[in-house]
Amino acid sequence: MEDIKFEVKHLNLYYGDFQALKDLNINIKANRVTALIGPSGCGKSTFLRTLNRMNDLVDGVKITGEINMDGKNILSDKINTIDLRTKVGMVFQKPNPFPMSIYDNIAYGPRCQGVKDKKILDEIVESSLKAAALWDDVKDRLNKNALGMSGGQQQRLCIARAIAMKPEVILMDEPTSALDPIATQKIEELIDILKKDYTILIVTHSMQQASRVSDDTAFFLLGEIVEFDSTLNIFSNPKNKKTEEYITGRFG
Amino acid sequence: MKRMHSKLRIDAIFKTVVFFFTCISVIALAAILIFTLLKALPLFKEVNIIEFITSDVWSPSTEQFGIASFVVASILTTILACLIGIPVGLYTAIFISEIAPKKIASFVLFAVEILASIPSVIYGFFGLTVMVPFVQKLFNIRSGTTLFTASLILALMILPTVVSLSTSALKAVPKTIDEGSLALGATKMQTIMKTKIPYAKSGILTSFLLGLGRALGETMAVMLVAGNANMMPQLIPISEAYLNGGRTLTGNIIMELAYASGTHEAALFATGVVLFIFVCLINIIILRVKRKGVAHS
Repeated sequence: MEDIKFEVKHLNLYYGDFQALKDLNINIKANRVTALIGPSGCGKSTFLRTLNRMNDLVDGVKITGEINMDGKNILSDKINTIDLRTKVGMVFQKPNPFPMSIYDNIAYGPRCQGVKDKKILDEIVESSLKAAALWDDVKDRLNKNALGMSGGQQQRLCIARAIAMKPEVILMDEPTSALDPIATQKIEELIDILKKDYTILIVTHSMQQASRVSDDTAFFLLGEIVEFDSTLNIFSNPKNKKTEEYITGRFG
Repeated sequence: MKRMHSKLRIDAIFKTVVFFFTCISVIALAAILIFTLLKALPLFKEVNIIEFITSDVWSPSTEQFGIASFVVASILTTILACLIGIPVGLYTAIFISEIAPKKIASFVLFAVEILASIPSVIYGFFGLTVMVPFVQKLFNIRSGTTLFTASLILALMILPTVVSLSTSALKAVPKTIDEGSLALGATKMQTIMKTKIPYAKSGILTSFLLGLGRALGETMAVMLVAGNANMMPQLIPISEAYLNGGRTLTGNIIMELAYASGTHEAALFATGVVLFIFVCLINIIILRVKRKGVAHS
């Protein structure tokens, strides 16, 4: 049996009076890529953001239920969100490098945790950039501003930045929606390599992307998980009619 | 077709009107500049420009015009005002944009913006009746009208500029940058200090420079509390400079303009030209800072 990384039980999320997530129950397996698909506003990004407690930043959010990560409920008040976020990294829709050098971008997270030793930081920067397949592109200009990179490179930098924290999980919120097809392909290849070491969840609007990169797929609609299965089954043999309609492009 | 034609015509009229009003503001600026320069010009038939700036003897009755002591007093008050006003302003901005609950934040911002709309003579009056006696007692000196008192009032007066512009600069930092930092396990404070402030750097620097410009150009409030003594501030020890009265460039103009004539009057306009050059320098730096900010975003 594969390990279960996140065990989600009766998860409900409200923005004020609006219920954005409705009684979600799902087990996310470790060291696999899980794709979250569904039309805009269906709650897939909101769900992703509950896994590293980024929804805490939104005013008026109320969450009930449980999300057990390795057996510990991460929704509990006792959880230190800073620790949690070092274990659950995130890559955003739009590349968001900080306005500083490539090196400093990668070293940012470790430095925030108090790592000061230059040697250790050098190692982290090199290994993270290698893991994100960016080292050869940038090794000669680590001190250049990260904002001078192309969009695709910036997004790989953001992945490297997440990797630098040595997380267990990487959340990706439509990581390629702002990128061209070639940059997208590179990110997808990277995801394939990274899943050996990390549990990856990816929100995507592209059916092709979900079918290419993921092992499991969850289909969200109006705040509910309509269907969750292996990607193969979802795309070749969906059990729910809505799922079939969505993946064949009849709505969404 | 006809309707299209009249639309185009309205468009053309609108453009003309906009252009006309723009001209008015540009002409006004040019007029002030040319007028001041022309009025200052006669001075330089009598006094050479280097002497005017470097001499600290200002004695209209003997036709000696040197403004070095006023330049020094202006620089001293501006520096101290910024040393006090900028940190207070920046931290207030951080409080408003990042830390305070919404209601408190908007109240503080409102209060600070009220500070901006208080006429400067009121600041001067407050300075004269409250700060001057306070400073006098605090340091046990003969008179509380000092450059230090002027700096305190100026610090208060530049606060609104620093606070409101730094607040908007911090608020303009995209949410994705915050989130990027927090998602890496940074604390809120780390996020503000290491990410948001660097991101908002050009806006924040601009707010500092505008505050600096305001401190340099302020006249009424400074005149009321600075003592206006026509003498070179004694720089060693520096406390000696701040705990005595002094006359700034602006103070010099307003103190004497009412009765000046001839070369004396020209010397006051020349003082204005020097002030104008300082302000221009600050504005050039602001433009550069802004351009740099644009280039990196």
